[in-house]
Amino acid sequence: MSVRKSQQIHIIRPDSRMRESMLSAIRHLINEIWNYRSHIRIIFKGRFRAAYSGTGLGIFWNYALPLVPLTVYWFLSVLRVFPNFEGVDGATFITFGVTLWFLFAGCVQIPMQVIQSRNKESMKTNFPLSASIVSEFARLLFDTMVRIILVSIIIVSTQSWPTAQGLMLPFMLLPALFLFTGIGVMLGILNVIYNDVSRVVNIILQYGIFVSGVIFPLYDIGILSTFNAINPFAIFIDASRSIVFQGVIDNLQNYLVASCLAFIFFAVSVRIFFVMEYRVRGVN
Amino acid sequence: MLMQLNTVLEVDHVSKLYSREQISTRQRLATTFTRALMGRPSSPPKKLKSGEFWSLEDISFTLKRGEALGVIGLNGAGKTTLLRTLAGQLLPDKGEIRILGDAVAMIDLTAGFQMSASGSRNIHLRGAMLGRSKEDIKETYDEILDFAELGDAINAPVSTYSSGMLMRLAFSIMVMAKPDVLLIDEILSVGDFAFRQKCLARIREMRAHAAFVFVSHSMSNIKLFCDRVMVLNKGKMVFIGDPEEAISVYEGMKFPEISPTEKRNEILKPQHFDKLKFNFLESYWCDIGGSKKQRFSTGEDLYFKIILNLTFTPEKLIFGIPIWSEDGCYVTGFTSNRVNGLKIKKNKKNTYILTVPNIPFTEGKYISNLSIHDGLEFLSRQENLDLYVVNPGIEEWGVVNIKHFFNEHK
Repeated sequence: MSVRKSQQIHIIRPDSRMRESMLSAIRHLINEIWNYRSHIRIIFKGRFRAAYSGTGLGIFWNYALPLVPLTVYWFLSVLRVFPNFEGVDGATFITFGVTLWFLFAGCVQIPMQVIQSRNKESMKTNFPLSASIVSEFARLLFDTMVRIILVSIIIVSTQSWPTAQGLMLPFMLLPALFLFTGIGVMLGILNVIYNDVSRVVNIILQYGIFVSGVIFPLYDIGILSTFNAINPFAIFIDASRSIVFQGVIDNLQNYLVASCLAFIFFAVSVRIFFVMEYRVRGVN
Repeated sequence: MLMQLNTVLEVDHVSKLYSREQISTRQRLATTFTRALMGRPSSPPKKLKSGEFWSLEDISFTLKRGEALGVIGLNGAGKTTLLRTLAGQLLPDKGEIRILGDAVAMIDLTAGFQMSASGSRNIHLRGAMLGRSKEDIKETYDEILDFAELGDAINAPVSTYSSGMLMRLAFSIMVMAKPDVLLIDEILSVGDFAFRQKCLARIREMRAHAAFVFVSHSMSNIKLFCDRVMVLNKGKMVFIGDPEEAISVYEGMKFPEISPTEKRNEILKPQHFDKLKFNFLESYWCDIGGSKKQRFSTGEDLYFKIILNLTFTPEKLIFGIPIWSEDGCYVTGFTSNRVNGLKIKKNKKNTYILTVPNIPFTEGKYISNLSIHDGLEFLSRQENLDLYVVNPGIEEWGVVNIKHFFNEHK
């Protein structure tokens, strides 16, 4: 159901959103999310409960499942499959990178999944897709928090102490979150037009974890080192890891350029999403 | 944008394109995507691609406050698409819609409910979705509860509700939003019959301050509520105007012709019987002594006996007996509403007799219902045994034989 102010004339015409600028699109979406905050909270709670309802171990699964991939790499590190990198213990290096990877990959995948699976429901209820996306992001945030707790335990156990500059990490992650959400939103719209997009993205993300400096550094592996310089995942993961464990940003220039492009790309994507939202409604 | 005085809805040459082939839909989306990316405005579709068709084509009308527009048409005529477009759920491909104030759509009543949340929580959530403030929702909360008749179930998760309960809650929330334009799609043809009557009564009350667009397959509801009726056929508006005329246009479009049994069922439905309110109910056509009788002659006195035992004392007991000829012509109706309330004792058999002196019906079979109300609330609506009228040997034409005289004018 649309939210309308009484006694205003509301005009519905084809693609009236085309006239909106990037800023007004962002403002509109922020208002929309704010107006639907109660729904977002309820949807998140509902899905959180649904994830464990009917299981014997109950809420345990909500904490255990996000940790599974991390524990695999931790286990392999304990077996000395991975050496120490850049002066950081192998287990810490990898679990920290994997946590960031899942956060970034989630930012790409969630908007795509929501746009694909909820556009019919959104048409029937006028419930904005943006609010559905944010409710799923809440789940991603929860999973990330759980992973961070495990990473902290690993840091303590391996005594790979972070630097004070590591406190800047949340701010440093902002451009990355904007970029990957923008990519997700843009690909989500494209996926309605070309169904192959989600499949291709899934394949890329499966491989991506191995070519983004998540598990091992890439700067001395031939062509991958060149790819490393333009791969946004690698840029943001390297920068985050270096600020936390070395106190400086490796390749600051790359990070700054990527951050600027991230904000621009996010603004463009949000406008495209805003313009296309009503058009993709109801399309299978 | 100017709107005419008292007009709340203006639909101006609206068209909506659909495609049976996904590829055409995706091609159109790709074009819009490219234009959005380039910052170029979109243009209305000029040529139709393979599989594309206009699900709505060049629809124009206006609606004033207090007016009700019925929309009828065969399946696939574009009725629901029209409502969805008016509600802003779908964008038109051509034309413009102007709405003064709030528009609320009752298309999928239960869509958008948070199933894991309680009924009470959903009242707040749905209220917020309708653009209502917290204070506003608080003010009407009790009214919604009363109307929905859910009792303690209001605190249970909506997932535990029956479909009837869910519909009651949804409708109650919608009507309390006090919209300027209410778009209703067929929802009043499902769920609990008695509650539906209550909904219809509420809609009648709302007519003073709101305009309605009402999609229904029930011609009796359409006739009852609508000032004007639009007939849609394959997306085109083939008629708009007087309800009776619109219904005859629609009836003429129906193909294939329905069988006599289907027609009879169509005429006599909906049937309803609230078991909890009756200990006993028997009714039949009878003679003056109260014995069952189905065959009468034109001009004879006709009787109908009702033996009733209710579990409660109704505030205003009303009987209604609508009569149709075999071919579906609505001949007349008999009602007790004209007398000032019938007396009744609960948990006791009460007998009532309807007397119709000198029945004017011509020869034929007549079908009828007995409906029993308590004021606006329906308690029962059930089919009666057929009534047969025979000709005692007089000339007759049409459905009724009305006493008449010709005299020489002096």
